[in-house]
Parts: sequence; structure tokens; C-alpha cells
Amino acid sequence: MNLKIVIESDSQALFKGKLMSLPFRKAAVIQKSIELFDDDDPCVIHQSYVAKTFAQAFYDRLRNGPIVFAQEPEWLEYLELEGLENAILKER
Amino acid sequence: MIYLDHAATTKPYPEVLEVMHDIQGRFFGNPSSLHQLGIEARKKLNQAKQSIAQSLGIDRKQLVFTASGTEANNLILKGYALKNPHKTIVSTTTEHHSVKKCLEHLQQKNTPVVFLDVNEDGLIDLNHLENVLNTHDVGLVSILYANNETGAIQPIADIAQRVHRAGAYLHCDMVQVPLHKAVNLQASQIDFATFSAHKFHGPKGLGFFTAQSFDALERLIDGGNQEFKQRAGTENLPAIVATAVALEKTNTLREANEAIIEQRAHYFITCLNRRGLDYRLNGPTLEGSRLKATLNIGFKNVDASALSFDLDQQNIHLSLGSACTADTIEPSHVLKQMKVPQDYLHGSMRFSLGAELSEDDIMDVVNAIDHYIKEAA
Repeated sequence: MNLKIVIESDSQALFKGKLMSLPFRKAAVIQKSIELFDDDDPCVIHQSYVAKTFAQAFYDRLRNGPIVFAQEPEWLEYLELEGLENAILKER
Repeated sequence: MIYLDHAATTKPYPEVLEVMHDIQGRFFGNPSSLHQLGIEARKKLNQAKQSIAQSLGIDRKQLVFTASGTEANNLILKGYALKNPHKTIVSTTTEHHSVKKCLEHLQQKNTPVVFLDVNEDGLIDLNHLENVLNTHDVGLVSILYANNETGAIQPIADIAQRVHRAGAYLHCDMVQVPLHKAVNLQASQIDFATFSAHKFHGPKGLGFFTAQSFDALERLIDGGNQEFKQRAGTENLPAIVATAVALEKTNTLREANEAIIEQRAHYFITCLNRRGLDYRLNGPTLEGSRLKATLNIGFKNVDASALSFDLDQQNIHLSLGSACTADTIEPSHVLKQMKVPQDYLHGSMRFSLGAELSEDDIMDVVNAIDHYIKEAA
């Protein structure tokens, strides 16, 4: 969760920071909150919990190496960043 | 699984579950019905009420069942304000939300309310209380006996003396108390007290309050004559009988359990010190005026919500005390009022211990915290 990561595309860093600081897509957070808590109006604490589950999912996945978004586009659904289609997310 | 959230709720004793099932099935009559089934149910209700009242040192006619501690607090505070609209109610800035929000609501409806500040241990200044009692027309003082977030215990005997000298009533939210301390309301001079069964291994959905006299309270829930006309509605008999069972068992186990909890609390602090972690115990010291079971610990420059999530992934469960507003997560109002320094405030979390915890459990928790903090650095 405290893992420092970088997202790069064409040698340009699109994001540098901790996993927890990744800009998760608001709609994805709310959708997952609704699923998890069965509440169509999830409060900010529940949304914050879901964001942490997203970070945990990335953390677990990164144990198997970098994420190449072109090969695993399902991870794009989580993130609110432009130009990720050819990017790689990896440990810093 | 390591459960460190006993202040939020406790696991019902097996006997509690058994008796609820039994009463639900066999004694389903309405206690107000005048036939054999109703009379049997009424008898069970009265026996349970007698048992709970006796344990608290009061008469059973001074005990009213509700659906929660929150409801009990609301019935007392709003009931008092409705009957005594011009009297001032005094409380503190670190109450449970069921008192704090209730009093803020009353304030909006023009009830005079004074909130007393607390010191860095979370305790009120008795001189300030005395000053307010001397300068306002105070009718009721409502004080949280043991704080649900920090475990701080207010000097209730001294408070009661001053409140009664001023001719006012004393209400104590005692929800956190029975699990850890024997309660004798007669001896402690508390006029109104509120409780919640699930905080001492009883069922959820059952609270109760005690009143030395109902004269000062306006009834808020009209309907039948249940609960001495103080709270209409068919009684939750399975939960009431189960609560009596839970309180009796708690009374039997309390002394031995508290000895274990005290040892575990000291061990927890010792382990944190051995690891050299930068932390502060929010509230009184372990030797001070506090519940030993409720340890609110702030870790310097740590995001407590991220740490608690990490612990949760390792099956270590606890709570923070933060609350959500419209779109932000606010740190606990209790810790803010105690002026916990900012660099510890956001790293504060509540470890509420139970007697089932072993030293190995405590060591596992401290290891997990230490690992997280070192990884985050």
C-alpha cells in the first residue's frame, strides 16, 4: 500500500507517487462502493475504503511484475489518467 | 482474527443467543395480553427487569427499556428539555454523538445549552463546571461517564456533588461502563443513566435508561402504557431477557477479565516502546482515570485510515473514530477537542481490548503496525 510507483509512457512519467495516491476513477469507486455496501449513496468513508481496496488490488498484481496497460486494459477502468493506453505501471 | 473493537460492539455470549431463540419461540405472547401466554411473557419481562435493576442498585420501577443507548439518551435529554424549556443543560464537547447532536438540535430549538471544554486528557475542569452552575439556571448536567473513544473516566463523584448542590440533575451516558466496572447507581448519586446491551455481550437492539424519578421528564413516545408510560411500544422480550443474562454473566466475569485486560494494555504499551515507535496515548495515562480496555493511540505522521485498512487485510479489526461530513473524512471531534497535535491526530486509532486477547495477539498487532510504519517511511 505504501509502495512507491511510477506510470510511464514513452519514457515520460505520467504519475509518480505512492499506490495510495493513485487517482482512482470516481465513477469506479462509487460503483464498487454500491456493490460492496449495497448502498446507492455511499458516504465518503465507504468510498475511501473502496479506494484502498483498489490500491490493494494493484499492490497484489504488482507482485507479478509491471502492468502493461495495452496487455491488461482492464486496469484502465480504475484510473482517472489520460494517455495510459501505451503506459506501464511499475515499482519505483 | 484479532478483534480490537470491543468499544463498538461485543460478541454475544452463547447463552444470550440461546435464550433469545428460546424466548422468541416459546414466550411469544405480548406481555400486555391478559391470557396465559401474555402472562408468561410478562413474568419473564418482570424477572429480567428485576435482575437488571438489582444489579445496578435501583428499583425495577426506575428502569425503562429502549431500542438503543442512543434512543435512551434522546428520551432523557429531549424529555427533560420539553418539560423544562427554560432550564440550562450542561454537557461537554467530547460527548458521544447521541448526546452531542441531540443537544445541538435542542439548542437550535432555543434550549439553553452550555458545552464544557476538556483538558488534554479529555477531563472537564470542575471549577469551570462550578462556575457555570453558579451563573446559569442549570437543570440538567449530562456527562459521558467513560469516553467511548479514549476511555477517559470523568470525576463523576465530584461532579455529582456539585450538580446536586446546585439543585440540578445528573445524567451519565454509561454505555461503556458495565463491561469494565461494577455499577451502583444508588451509591454514585447519578439521577439518570443510559446503557446499551450489545456493549456487554448482550443483543443489539436493546438499550435502557434509569431514572431516580420520572417527574422531570416529558414522555416522548405516546401509545400504550408500557415501561411505566415512559416509552410506549410492545417490549422486545427476547432481547430484554437476554440482556439480563448478559449482565449477570458480565458481573460474574468482570473482575477476572479486567485483570487480564489491564495486563494486556500494559503489554501493548511495553511492546510499542520496545519497538521505538513514535506514538502518544491519547487521554489519561494507563495509571490514570481511564478504562484500561480503550486505548486511543496516535502514531506520528501516519495515515490511520490506511494503517487500519492494512491491519484489516491481516484480520486485525479496529475503528478510528473519524466521521464523514459531506465530502471529507473528519478526525474525531473528541481528539480535536483534546487538542491532540496535528501530526498525531490523523494517525490516531482506537484499540479496544477484550479478555480473549493473548500476549501473542498483542505482539502480532504491534509487529504489523511496526512493519507498516517502517514500510511507509
